[in-house]
Amino acid sequence: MDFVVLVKYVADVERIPEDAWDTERGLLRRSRLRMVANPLDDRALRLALEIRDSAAAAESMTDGREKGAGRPGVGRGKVVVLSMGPPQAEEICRRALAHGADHAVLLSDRAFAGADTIATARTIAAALRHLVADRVVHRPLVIAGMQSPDGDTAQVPIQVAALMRYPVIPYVTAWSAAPVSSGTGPISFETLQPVGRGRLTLRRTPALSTVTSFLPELPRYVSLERMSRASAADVPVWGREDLGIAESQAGLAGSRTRVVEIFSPPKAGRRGYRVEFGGERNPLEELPVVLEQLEQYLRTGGAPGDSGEAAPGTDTPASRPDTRELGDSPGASGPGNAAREAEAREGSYYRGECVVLCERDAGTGEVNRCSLELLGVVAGLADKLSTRTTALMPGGIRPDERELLAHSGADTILSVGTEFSRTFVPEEHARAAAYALRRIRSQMVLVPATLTGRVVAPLLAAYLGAGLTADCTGLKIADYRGRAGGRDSSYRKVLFQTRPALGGNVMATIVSLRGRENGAPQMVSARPGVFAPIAREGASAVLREFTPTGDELDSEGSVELAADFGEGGGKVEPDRGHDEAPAEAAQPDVTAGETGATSDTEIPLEECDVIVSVGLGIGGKENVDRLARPLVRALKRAWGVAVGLGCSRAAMEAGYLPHSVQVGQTGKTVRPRLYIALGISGAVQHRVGMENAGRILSINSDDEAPLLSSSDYVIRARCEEAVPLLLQLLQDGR
Amino acid sequence: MSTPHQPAPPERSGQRIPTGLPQVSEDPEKIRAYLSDESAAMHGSADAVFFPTGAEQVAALLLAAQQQEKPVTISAGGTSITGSRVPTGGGWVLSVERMRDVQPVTFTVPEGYDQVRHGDMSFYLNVEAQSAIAPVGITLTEFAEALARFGLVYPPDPTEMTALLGGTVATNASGARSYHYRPTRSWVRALEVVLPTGEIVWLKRGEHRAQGRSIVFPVRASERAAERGAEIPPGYPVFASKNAAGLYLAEGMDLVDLFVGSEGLLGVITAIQVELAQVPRDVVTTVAFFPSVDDTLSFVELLRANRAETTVADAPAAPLSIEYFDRRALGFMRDAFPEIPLDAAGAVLFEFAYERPATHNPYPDGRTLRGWQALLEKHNAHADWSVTREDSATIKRFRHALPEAVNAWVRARVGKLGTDMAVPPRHFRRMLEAYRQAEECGVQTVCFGHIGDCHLHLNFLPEDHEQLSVARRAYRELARRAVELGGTISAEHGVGKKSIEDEHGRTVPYLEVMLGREGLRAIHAVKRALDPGFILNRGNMVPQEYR
Ligand SMILES: Cc1cc2nc3c(=O)[nH]c(=O)nc-3n(C[C@H](O)[C@H](O)[C@H](O)COP(=O)(O)OP(=O)(O)OC[C@H]3O[C@@H](n4cnc5c(N)ncnc54)[C@H](O)[C@@H]3O)c2cc1C
Ligand SMILES: Cc1cc2nc3c(=O)[nH]c(=O)nc-3n(C[C@H](O)[C@H](O)[C@H](O)COP(=O)(O)OP(=O)(O)OC[C@H]3O[C@@H](n4cnc5c(N)ncnc54)[C@H](O)[C@@H]3O)c2cc1C
Repeated sequence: MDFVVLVKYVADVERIPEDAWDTERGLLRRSRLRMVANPLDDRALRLALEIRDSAAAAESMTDGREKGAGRPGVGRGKVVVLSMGPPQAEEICRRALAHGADHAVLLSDRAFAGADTIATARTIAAALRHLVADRVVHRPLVIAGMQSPDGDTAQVPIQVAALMRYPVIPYVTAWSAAPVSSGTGPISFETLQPVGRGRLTLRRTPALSTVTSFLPELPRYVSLERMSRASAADVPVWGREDLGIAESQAGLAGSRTRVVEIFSPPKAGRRGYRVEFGGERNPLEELPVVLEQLEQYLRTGGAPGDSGEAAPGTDTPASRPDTRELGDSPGASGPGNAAREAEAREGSYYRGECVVLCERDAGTGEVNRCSLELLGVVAGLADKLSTRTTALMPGGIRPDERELLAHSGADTILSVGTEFSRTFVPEEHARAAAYALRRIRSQMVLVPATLTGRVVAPLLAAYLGAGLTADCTGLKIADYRGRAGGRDSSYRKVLFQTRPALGGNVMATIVSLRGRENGAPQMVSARPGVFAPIAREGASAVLREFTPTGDELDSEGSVELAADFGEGGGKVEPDRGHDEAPAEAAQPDVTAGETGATSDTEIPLEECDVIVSVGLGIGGKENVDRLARPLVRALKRAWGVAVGLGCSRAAMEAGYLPHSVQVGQTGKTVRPRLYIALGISGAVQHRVGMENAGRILSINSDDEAPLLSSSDYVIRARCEEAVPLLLQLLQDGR
Repeated sequence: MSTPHQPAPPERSGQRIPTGLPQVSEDPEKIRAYLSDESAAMHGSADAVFFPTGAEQVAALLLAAQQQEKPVTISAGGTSITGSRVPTGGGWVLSVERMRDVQPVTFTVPEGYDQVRHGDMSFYLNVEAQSAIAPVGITLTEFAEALARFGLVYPPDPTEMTALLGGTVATNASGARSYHYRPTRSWVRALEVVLPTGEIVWLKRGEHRAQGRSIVFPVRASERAAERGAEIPPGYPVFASKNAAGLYLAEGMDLVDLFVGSEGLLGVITAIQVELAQVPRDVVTTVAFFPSVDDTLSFVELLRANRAETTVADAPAAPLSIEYFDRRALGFMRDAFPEIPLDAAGAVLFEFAYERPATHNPYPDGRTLRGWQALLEKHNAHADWSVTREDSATIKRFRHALPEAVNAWVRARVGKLGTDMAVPPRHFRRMLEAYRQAEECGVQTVCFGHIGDCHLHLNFLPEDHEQLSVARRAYRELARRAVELGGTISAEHGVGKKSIEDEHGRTVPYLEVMLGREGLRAIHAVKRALDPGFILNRGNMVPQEYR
């Protein structure tokens, strides 16, 4: 069995050198950043090497076709590394060779510069096709890190899969070869599921999987012998012409998104607001203020380091720069105003409805909160554009949900009557959405950037030929003038999409280009908790229902190249050879855990919006269950964001929680929007692991704890006193 | 308790009048942080901690201390493990941690030096000349970060990089790469020192030398200058290599060398001119595991022979560092690195710099690598782990795995006893034999360290107090043996306030094992000449009442 590992040459955002900051302009100088292989791609490489070198690889293709397919060295497949990047990326190609990869190819050409994710994916897909055509690899399993730390979109591998028509197995957390009587059986992957974990058996390749940080790290050292081989090896460099990609499809020219501005998130000093227990003021009056401010901070999409709101005690209203721009007062430009509507439509580059691809919470089965948040923000945008807000519900809706969606801002509901597998199969969701979207005219599609949405959105974007901006925290309508597709263009009333990148160290504003050429909408995803839902009491929504057949849905999964890429688009052919039943390559054996049975580490700690972290000061191991876990649950419920549980080294050493969730120098480096420290004194070794959190709340009775001076909020109390009050407030508030 | 008021101005002219006393804290909570060091073996007491920002404040403080007869103990990063910064005699603590800018008093910053700011500290740098004038209160880490911007490095690299520059000069610190770069002493070009009597002097290498065996201090404009001298006794040892035990005293010596490694006995260092080196751009670090101690040693000897520029045909380059881990040390490290070969009798970690064969090829050329490989094979190495700069963090983790595992082990017991001895290369195998015998004393041990400099740390890890006394005896024997073999009892940590029981059960200064009474008296004499009141760093190296 063969493997292709995608390795991206990225800026090391974990260790930003002091001098990389242009302090005068407040900008990050990218040229000063250290460049490395994406650490997640290292894990992907390790996974590939492990499977290659295990007996399992030989046996894995149970249908027998693979065995002894006439190639020498049956069983020991090849691992080929692909990296698209500047000439310097040769370093990480050689490094992969030193670690045991069989070949490495560098995709490098000036023409590739400025590629967005679809243009990147297209280049990588073209290279993959070459590797297959030249028989360097046969029916490969492509493995990639789930996300890069710099561009940070998590879109490239998914779009590579879409272009290759390879089924996606996202979020691998572990692998094993099922033992059978005759040795080892097929390979199975454990993956993150919307709730808990799932186990999938790899039945056939090609396929593409993305890996999480739950997989083990690549050992960082190699033998001198391997090093000398890697030093002497040939690393071919393939350029645009080698790959047969038209100029108009490569790099900036082939991109559907355009970065129009990069700026720094305003860095605010920690405000150090204190709530004292046993002091003069009543903590019960102050704690709600703290909670409210934190919630507001999360909702206004403050990137880490951003200052979302004023300190408590002042009564300046929260500033919400991006959403407020939309803020004609409700009704001022409603769809009823025909003249304005016509004027608005005439002016805008994109036409049609504003759509939210809604999602259900896998545990409760309800429409999730993030979908409602997006409906809220879209309703504001649609008003401004004098168009409709549409809630797209793949999988159909229950009668009682109409009202909820209407009240949350939907004018129209598109229900697609499809059945989904119990395990998350991203293609099913993306196809259902594509089916409906091809039958209406839409100018923008918003997708919740949840675990599942972050896979569905890039697939859908690839199907529709749309640009996609990930994890937006600010959206507004404005005009854009610039060059696109080789000519000066003016884009009236387009969506300005603002998102954090480079680990939250920069903010980028992005617009979607050239949508008219293929009728593709502007697409964005947004993280839960960034926008606030609205309540339009008494509003109602029109329901449209689609019931596609299985065949109709299957055809949605193809990428229409000509439409997508305009002139010259036909040169890149999808890999038709692998068309047969792509989505069935992986079959679920065991489905995900049930609701409520979720572990603390449901999603990687690094991915959580909020982290509740435990130190020795929590007052005993039993308080992890009595205080910390309930707080995690309460915050999840109240704020609808991803909340994780972490700990300090001391707490780990005392056996409170496993090393896998330890934050700090010898554990994880995290950058959540909010870090809640329960009884953590915060030695510098701990602080380096979390000091880039957007907000820090410390609950501690020890006034000397060093963490207090670098916290935004300090609740001076024992955790036993303060946490129950917070739990109470979180419960009452909602 | 009393804190000083404005001191009387110095009796002499020629020096500027002190401008005022430094900030002070008398908060017992604050003071507490200065009463012990990383050894946690000694605790002192103090009335106040002062935080001078420059030499003049230091001078004012020392004058006040003279008048009030207050002992003063200098504190830097507090990472000493010898008690050297512990104020066992009470009095005042002088913390240099706020001396974070150069405030020239006795010198002017030469042409070509530009001020470099890094966070809240600053220093002067001449990139061309590869030299810096720096304040004493900056950590080595900060200094390294700031210099990295210019592609420069201050080579001394003790493990504990939170040590302050001043502290490391006062202890002549060294680290793994001192094998190639040599200890701190070699990098110090000039020092600004405040003498215990309040005079401030700028000592520049080459300007003040001992007249034969007589040291005369350059205290200009002092009528008493004539008295301010001392004689170096014949027979006082001089070490060519690493040593941090006792004052440096040698015929015709440079006075800068007297202060480097003086453990704060003779004055407060307030500014330092150092030499810098270019960062080697690319370095491979290799850990090689050997099946026997003999293989390990012969490999090391071959590497070492290559240092003296005698080209050893097989060795492709002279290493920057050569470190050793014995079998027991590897056992501890297996917690963090289970893949360490089970049958490894020892491991050698070495680094070498190289030129890339092509700009974007991160590895040395194939020939160099095959050269090393052949060398390892010849010495029967059964595995090697190698990294380039990119993955050097792993090796850091590997190095730290040992102290971490050992500390965790020790925490549950009675503490550890670690040696810091070094001997000349020609006697190294003899010293190893002594270590081997010591290892048989019945107490658990681990052995690791700077084998390139014949400088190993044999750590005893006693289970209980009984074993602790067994270990102490073995320790004393080792120290004696090191001295017999012409070595030092402390190559990098210094002696501070360490003492040892002699064969008659008498507690004597640790340094006496090496220098004998004669040597300690010589140190005492130098000390008395500069600090007649014995106010500064009382108890380090030699007690005040020593005769
Ligand atoms: C500030 C900023 C914001 C941006 N925002 C967007 C945006 O919202 N939408 C958009 O379309 N583009 C965006 N881009 C462009 C985008 O970063 C690039 O297209 C980038 O090449 C790939 O995206 P990524 O880093 O997000 O990769 P991800 O999709 O996060 O990477 C995941 C994995 O895919 C593989 N992979 C990705 N790129 C490569 C590669 N070049 N070579 C080999 N393997 C690779 C690796 O395995 C990697 O670990 C942005 C760029 C910047 C500078
Ligand atoms: C884990 C660990 C690892 C270590 N590894 C090494 C190593 O690899 N190599 C090594 O050499 N040492 C090592 N040490 C010992 C210690 O770090 C060094 O001795 C270091 O140089 C002390 O610096 P400091 O700033 O902490 O000084 P302190 O401990 O504060 O003081 C050390 C001595 O210097 C005096 N002093 C400090 N500043 C001045 C000044 N400005 N003027 C005059 N006298 C002054 C003090 O009075 C005291 O006597 C280690 C210690 C630990 C805890």
